[in-house]
Amino acid sequence: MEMKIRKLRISGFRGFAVERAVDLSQPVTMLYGENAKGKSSVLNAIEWCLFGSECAGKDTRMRERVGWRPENRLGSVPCRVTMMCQNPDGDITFERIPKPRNKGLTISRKGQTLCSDAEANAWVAENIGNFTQFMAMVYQHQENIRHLAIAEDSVKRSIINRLLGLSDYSNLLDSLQSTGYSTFSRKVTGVRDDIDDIIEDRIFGYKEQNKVLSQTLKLRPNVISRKLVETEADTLTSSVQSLYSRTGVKLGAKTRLADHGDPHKYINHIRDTVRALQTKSPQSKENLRVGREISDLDYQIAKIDASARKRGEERKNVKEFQVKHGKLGSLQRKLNRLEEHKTSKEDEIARIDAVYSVLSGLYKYLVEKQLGIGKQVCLACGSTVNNQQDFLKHEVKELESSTIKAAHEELGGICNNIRLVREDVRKLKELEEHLELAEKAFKDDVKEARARLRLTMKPSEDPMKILKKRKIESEQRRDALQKALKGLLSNIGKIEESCDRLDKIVAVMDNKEEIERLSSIKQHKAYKELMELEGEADLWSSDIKAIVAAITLVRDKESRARVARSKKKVSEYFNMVAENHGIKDLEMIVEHSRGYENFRFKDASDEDVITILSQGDLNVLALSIFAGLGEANLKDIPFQSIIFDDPSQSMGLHHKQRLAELANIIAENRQVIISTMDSEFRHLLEKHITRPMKVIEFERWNPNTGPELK
Amino acid sequence: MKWADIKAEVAKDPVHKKERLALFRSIESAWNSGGTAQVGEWLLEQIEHTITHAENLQRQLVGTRESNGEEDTDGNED
Repeated sequence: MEMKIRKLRISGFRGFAVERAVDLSQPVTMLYGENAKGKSSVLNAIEWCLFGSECAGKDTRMRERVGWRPENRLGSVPCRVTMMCQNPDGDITFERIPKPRNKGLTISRKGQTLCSDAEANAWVAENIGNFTQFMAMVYQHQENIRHLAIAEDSVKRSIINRLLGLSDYSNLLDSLQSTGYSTFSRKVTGVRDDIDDIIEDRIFGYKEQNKVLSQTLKLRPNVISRKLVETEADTLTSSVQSLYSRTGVKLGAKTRLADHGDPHKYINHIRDTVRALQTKSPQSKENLRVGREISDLDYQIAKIDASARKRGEERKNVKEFQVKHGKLGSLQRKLNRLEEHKTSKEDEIARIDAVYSVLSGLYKYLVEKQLGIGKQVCLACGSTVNNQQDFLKHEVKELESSTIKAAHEELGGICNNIRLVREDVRKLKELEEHLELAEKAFKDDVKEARARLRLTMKPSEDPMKILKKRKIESEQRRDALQKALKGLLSNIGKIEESCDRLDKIVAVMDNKEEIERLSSIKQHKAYKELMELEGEADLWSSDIKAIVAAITLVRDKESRARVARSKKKVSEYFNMVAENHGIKDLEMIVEHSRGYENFRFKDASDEDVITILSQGDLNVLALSIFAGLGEANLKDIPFQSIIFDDPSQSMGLHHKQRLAELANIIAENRQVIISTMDSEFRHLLEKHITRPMKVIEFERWNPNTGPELK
Repeated sequence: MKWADIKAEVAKDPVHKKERLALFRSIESAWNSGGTAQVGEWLLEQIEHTITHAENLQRQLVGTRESNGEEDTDGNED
């Protein structure tokens, strides 16, 4: 397959906001214009049309391709690139639109669709190669040039391998290396070694534990056996049975080791069983009951004591009041007497008032009638009086100032006494009511105590004395019970100690059995499986190592062949363009070190020339390598085009002139597309290129339409 | 990639030729289906699977070092 690009139609791609056609039908095409005017977008369109998302992202190892998007930011027209190529079997058209999973490519020949999407990508891979190969042989990228000559070995190796079309080998070898296959079998061995270490550590640990336990038990380790566990368990069961029997409590089931099988479960059960005696035994129960009774007695004594004290106070209050004011009967009688006295006094006052009324009326009459003056017989009593008016006046005055006043004062005193006696009666009745309530509360408390504590007592007996006597008896009973319980607790403690001892014996036995189990792990099926896995991993590592060696061998063979084919051209081109004529017979050498190939550039004196080259010559060297590799391996290249992106960087006039001459030589066999912003280089190209050349000028860039071409 | 040349190199060594060629075919197949990344992913998966299997066997035999023998390492029930 031999192809040359004839025409591009670009729309909505990168800087192209509207559709533009780019004619590339001439043997040489120059894309000329300032920076950021759209030249690179044309070159990008060629790559993207063929390879889609493969030409973007980190895997391209080109910095500006990270986060690269094909669509124009304005999005005014759909993104689409159409590339028409000349081919001896009929022109082929590639057309790509953005689609997920890198679909979107359609290939047609003579207007008939050949294939599309994944099938079209496969067609490109088969007939043109992958993106890496395309970049190696067709597209001279600025970044390659910048790094090719002066980069470190690993970067240089990557770029030259890309130029040689061998980066797939290197990427594959890097990928295999990064899996850590060479240390893989050591990791599996490490797992098995770890098991051996764990076994050893644990056996040592269990043996040390057994030493300490044996010393605590005062037994030689070899004496400790399952038989000893059974004997000790029998003794323990007998002790529990005996203790239960002595305390008169019925023993539950499962008190023998055989009932449980597992000694740990047996020991725990025995512990729970003996501890239960603390609450189950009759002494314990009686102790609890007596304790509760003493608490009850304390409560009742305190309650009756309080109500008795209250009753005493109320009694004292009534008595003191009676002594001071008299009893209720006496007060009542006194009150009756005062009421009678009051009535008689009121009658007396009524009589005096009547006399006063008559006398004062008579006096007023006599004064009014001018009667009763002089000696005469009294009209009222018939006796002889000197002056009746004066007499009556005196009598009325006497009644007013003395008799009536005295009678009223006396009545006021009687009323006051009645009020005081009535208050005493009320107060005394109230005190007697309080006393009655206190008496009732006391009687109720005694009744409650008798009921709760089942006491029998005569009414004449003092309940407090009875209660206190009962409390002393209960306390004595409790002391006796606690003495008896102390013995029971001591026995329970002894059995618990035996449980601890048996626990330790069982622990020694468990450790012995675990030591036996650990010692036999290496005979275990899983251990043998692990050993087999170790062998397989070892074999696997060596197989991958052999495959890696085979890939390296094939790559190196290919590399040597390609370098051998290219180095004459590289040297020829370099010597033609470079200014440094002190360097003769530049040779490209491939050296191998630790599975990697390093590229060196030496002259006839076997000196490394990189260190003595100017920046311009370094660029010339890089271009020579690119062009030389491409030319020498031309038969492997399906695309007969070569693209130079800004090749005259850092070059002087002489370099540029030679480079223009070189482009003319290359144009004899390949279609040449040169992108440049260098006007001097443009003139040199126009002067030296003898093949038909088209210049496309990128004059300006319009934000709404994109590059404007002329 | 000249897979045929690589295969011929691999096949030259008579030791474990069958297994080695099977492994080679797996790598070639991974490369064809997803390139370098697929080969790395496949190989890493194989390695991790084997190491995980080895670690499972270790746990089955002795538990982990941290478990200090407290784990029921032989699958026995109490």
